[in-house]
Amino acid sequence: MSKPVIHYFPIRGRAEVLRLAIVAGGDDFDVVDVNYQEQKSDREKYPFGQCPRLVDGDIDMVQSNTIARYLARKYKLNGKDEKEMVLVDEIMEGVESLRVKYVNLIYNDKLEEAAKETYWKTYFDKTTSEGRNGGAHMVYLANFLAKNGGKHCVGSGLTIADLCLWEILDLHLRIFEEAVKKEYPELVAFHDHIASLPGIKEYLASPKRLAAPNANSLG
Amino acid sequence: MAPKIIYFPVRGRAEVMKLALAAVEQEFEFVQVDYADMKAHPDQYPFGQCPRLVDGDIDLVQSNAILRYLARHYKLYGKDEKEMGLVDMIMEGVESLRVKYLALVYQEKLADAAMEQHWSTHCDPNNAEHRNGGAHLVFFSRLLQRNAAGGGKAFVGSGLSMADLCVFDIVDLHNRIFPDKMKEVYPELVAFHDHVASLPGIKEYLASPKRVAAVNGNNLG
Repeated sequence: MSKPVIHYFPIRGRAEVLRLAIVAGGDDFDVVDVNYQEQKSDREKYPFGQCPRLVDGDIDMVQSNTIARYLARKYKLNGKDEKEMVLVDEIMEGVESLRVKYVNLIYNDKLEEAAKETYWKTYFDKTTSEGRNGGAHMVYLANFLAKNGGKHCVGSGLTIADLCLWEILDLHLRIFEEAVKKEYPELVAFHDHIASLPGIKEYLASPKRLAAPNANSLG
Repeated sequence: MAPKIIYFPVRGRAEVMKLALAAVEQEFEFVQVDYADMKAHPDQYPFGQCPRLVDGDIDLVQSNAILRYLARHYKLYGKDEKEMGLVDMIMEGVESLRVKYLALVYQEKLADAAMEQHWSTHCDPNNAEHRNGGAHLVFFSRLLQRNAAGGGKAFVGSGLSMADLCVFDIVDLHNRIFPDKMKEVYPELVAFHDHVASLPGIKEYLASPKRVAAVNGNNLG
């Protein structure tokens, strides 16, 4: 059977969780650098003018979170029953809220100092989570993990919720390393545990794990 | 026992879930959220936000997670994996446009210049290839036309799906603030909207007091 193919920019970005899901499922993937012209003009392949795009057999889809859910179903990373499934979904939405803030910090604020300080205070400082943050705060995600025993966000096995949390955490460890280690040691332990899982461990050491997290070389 | 939707007394991010329950003729209870309560109970409001849905032993937040739960439960998710992916994809596209709409309403407060900018960037079909964050009405127009089985009345397959209800809502919101432009530029989306509005269950809901008058929290739109 042919491998799923990810069409994207040559960065981690919004394709990283998809890559993690495929390798966690014991599978492999091919990568095609997206043709930006085609992305903007071919409405059949790119209905929203955006990538990543996944082609897997007769599945051809865009929207990173849709692709993530499809892969979660395919590789049984979506929870074992309805109750787990909704929790996985809920956590994915929470990660998405935080990801939007992260992407803004990287691309609009360009990681400048004052913006980083405000960002930490609003979205990471454990004492400020009752403020206005658009539902984006690391402590909300940490709470799911803590409530579920610390190793996995949902149930007793790996789900795509774990991979989404791992990835957003990984991005923040790169730019707030000391502060995250100090404030969220439990998440650092979780990060290390997930990174050691079969499939993921090999991927993270491979050239398929691209060096650039974002397109503007920041982060 | 009827599912319970807990939210502000506005349409906002609870409207599509109400439409879904109406479409499948499932009664629901509406409970107005207590803001202090929401901020103080992270067990029930893990992100400090609503809407929240309580349905038997399902208790969840995040509007789109709630919609997907309802889609699975009430068979509004397409008939197979391929259709499910398409429903999901369209829901994400609506979400992108919803975020832009919300910025227009809450941050720009529907100021004239901002309205023009929103139409130009996210609605004018001539500008669809520009940078718009994947948020543009014309994408939905094309997706509707692409679904031959739907005949202009459904986005996925030939029956009602959550994708239809999401697009209905975002079109409805744009009809309210750009009534003439929508009719002129997107007659097919307006016709789709009118078709969905006429469906049994939905038609009654739209005429009922459960369809609250306030669209957004700041009385605009």
